[in-house]
Amino acid sequence: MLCDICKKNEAVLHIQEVSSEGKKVINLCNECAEKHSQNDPLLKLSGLNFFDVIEDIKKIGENAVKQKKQSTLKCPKCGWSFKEMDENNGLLGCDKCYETFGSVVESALKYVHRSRIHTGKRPHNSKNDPPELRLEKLRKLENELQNAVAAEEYERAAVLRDEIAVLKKKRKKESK
Amino acid sequence: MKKKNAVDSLLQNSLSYLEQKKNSNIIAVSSRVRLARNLAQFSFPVNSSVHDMACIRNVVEDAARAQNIVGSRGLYIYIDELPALDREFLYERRLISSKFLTYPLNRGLLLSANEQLAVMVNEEDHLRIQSFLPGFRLQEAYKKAAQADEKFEREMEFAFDDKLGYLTSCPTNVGTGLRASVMLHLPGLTLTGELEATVRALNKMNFAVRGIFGEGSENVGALYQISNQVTLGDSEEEIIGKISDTIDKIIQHEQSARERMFAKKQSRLLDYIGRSYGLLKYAYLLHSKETLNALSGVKLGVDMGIFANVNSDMVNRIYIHSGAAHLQKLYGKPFENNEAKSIFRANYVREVLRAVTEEQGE
Repeated sequence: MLCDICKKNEAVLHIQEVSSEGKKVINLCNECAEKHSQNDPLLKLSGLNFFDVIEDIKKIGENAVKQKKQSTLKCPKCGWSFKEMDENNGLLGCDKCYETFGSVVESALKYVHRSRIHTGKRPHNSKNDPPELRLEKLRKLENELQNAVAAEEYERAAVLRDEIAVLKKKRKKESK
Repeated sequence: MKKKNAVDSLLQNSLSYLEQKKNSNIIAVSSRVRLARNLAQFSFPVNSSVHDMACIRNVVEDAARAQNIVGSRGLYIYIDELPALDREFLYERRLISSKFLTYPLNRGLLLSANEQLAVMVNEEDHLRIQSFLPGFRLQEAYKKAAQADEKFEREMEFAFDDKLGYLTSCPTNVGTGLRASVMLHLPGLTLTGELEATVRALNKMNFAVRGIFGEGSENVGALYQISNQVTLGDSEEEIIGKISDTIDKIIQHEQSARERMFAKKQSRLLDYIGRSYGLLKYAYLLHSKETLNALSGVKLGVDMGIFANVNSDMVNRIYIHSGAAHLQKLYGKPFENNEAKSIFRANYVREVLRAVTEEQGE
């Protein structure tokens, strides 16, 4: 299939735009895609530019109205706004920005990562473990403590005992 | 802070960066795993004040020292206190990104003596833990990076969200903050014209393909960095697993392309290798790009056992030292002009190629 613009090169990018006017399909070769990406943010190239992706989402109706209302939105922790995001290729200003710019970031995340939930490793400081995990951890530690005592490894048992105490204290604090 | 001799000392390291165990993969040049992390109480670097960044650099350095993260002979480099040449040198060695060249203020690099662990401080995120290993060793590289991550965690609190994972300045890194990449040497696929199709297939599978200097760089010397783009939703093991499976396949394709060239287009192949060798052996002026391109042909010849007297050690030496900053350090002073640099580069390459030939009594 040849590129719709230059009609010379083989098309490698196929963009489908679904809107209220119906479905539009454009086929582009790499050169034309690069040339036009400056004007049309719907073109995604082999290098991922997150800002382009955010623009995509903005145009794809879903958040368009919300966007207009949020254009004066500012992060309460660091003062970041859409203007700064624009000027910095879609970068966020601090961790709280994820909450502040929630809906826009979330949609873009789904587009880029195809998921919104982290399933990988977590920091070990128990503050970040969800409560269920912490209970599981507690049980595991108590079990290990019993084993250590049975095996007469008293030094290890002491370390475990202390860890259990810290964990219990944190859980007590939480349940308040 | 001993910095003047510190960076120069890396010159002695030249080969550990690329040394591979015997019979290990010759198509995969190196593996890199990067973890992006940020301190919870500070804004991200893009929105940090100069004062905050200096603070962050101190906090990270203190943590690294307390936990002995880069080892007893590790370097604690303040990028803004380095002369420009040293910064270029570190960039050529792929230890720092181009961002550090443009904005060196309050940026830092914590580096292990063997250059296998490098932590960039205040790049796009507060910490970019990077683990490097020669060849195709992603699992191992990930383990090393994860270990450093866990040690840092004992000294500081990272910005983390229960649902979104580790929070990074750019949402394309959120979740695991993991970027795993392997640098592949693909002259076979380049010669058979199958490279473009391979790159397109990789893009479709959500892998990024970049030139040797990362984002925005050209493809030089048939060297390509393949990395994952998805960082959220898959666990670290799944990400490493997926990219490893893909890399395995590409390596097989490359191997097959080389075999096909050897079987069906032998004259063309030998001519390509011969001309590449000829250029390096006899040119009087060499520019860095053409050196790397010619080196690709020579490396291919070494891989295929075509040379009796050129080995991969020589190839690696030329690969590391052909950059302008490396050459200047060897030269000992700034080059009078570009021509002087090209002459020196050609001299250096000829010296390296001559050394082994003499030993083997050519």
